[in-house]
Amino acid sequence: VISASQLQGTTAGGTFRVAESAVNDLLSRTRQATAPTIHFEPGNHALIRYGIFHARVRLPAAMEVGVHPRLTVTLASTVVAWGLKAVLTHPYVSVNGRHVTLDLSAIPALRSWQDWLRCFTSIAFSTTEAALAVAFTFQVPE
Amino acid sequence: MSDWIRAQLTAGLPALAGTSLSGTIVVKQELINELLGDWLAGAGTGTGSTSPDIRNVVRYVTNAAVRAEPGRLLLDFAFAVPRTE
Repeated sequence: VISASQLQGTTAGGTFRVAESAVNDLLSRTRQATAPTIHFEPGNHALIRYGIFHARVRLPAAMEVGVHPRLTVTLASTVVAWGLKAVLTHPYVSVNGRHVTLDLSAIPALRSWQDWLRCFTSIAFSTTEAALAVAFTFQVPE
Repeated sequence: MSDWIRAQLTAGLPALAGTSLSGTIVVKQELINELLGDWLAGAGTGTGSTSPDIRNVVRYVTNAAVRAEPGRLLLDFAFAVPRTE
């Protein structure tokens, strides 16, 4: 396995465009009986469906990067936020008002990727109908 | 997940149509020698890794150049997956 420190000085940037169908295909491969689905709409809006549960969220224009990369999405409904706060017990998720923050540095499944995640110097999001664009810049310090 | 990635690589990354990337990968000579040693060891024993057919991905490389500096190689690249619509 190659670590980030072995590629010091590496730089990259660009935009990943991800089709909504691909995201839902990935979500359907989770081991849960009912997999969530997501529908992207222009203006960084998305609709998440999970069984009978629907939630509208707004993605940020950019997420925090660095040692503790954090993604904060904003729920359209305060009631949904209250409900989530009651049921979400993962230490890497926090709910403040309608804002839901995911601390990527604390997710166990991403532990082995931490030295790569810290190298992102910017990550920005934009959505179009049924697609998500993730623009990034990346630099491994010398 | 790995099945999904393998299928995407073989099919030419249809899920990422419209993606574009560029940059420079800096590889120190120690890493090159380590990778070369691993590759040769695998080739000698027949235990080398089996990669998916990624010819449908390599065709999206729009620029690639190798530069050498003392003790390291610099690989410049640009990569773009065409939009499908």
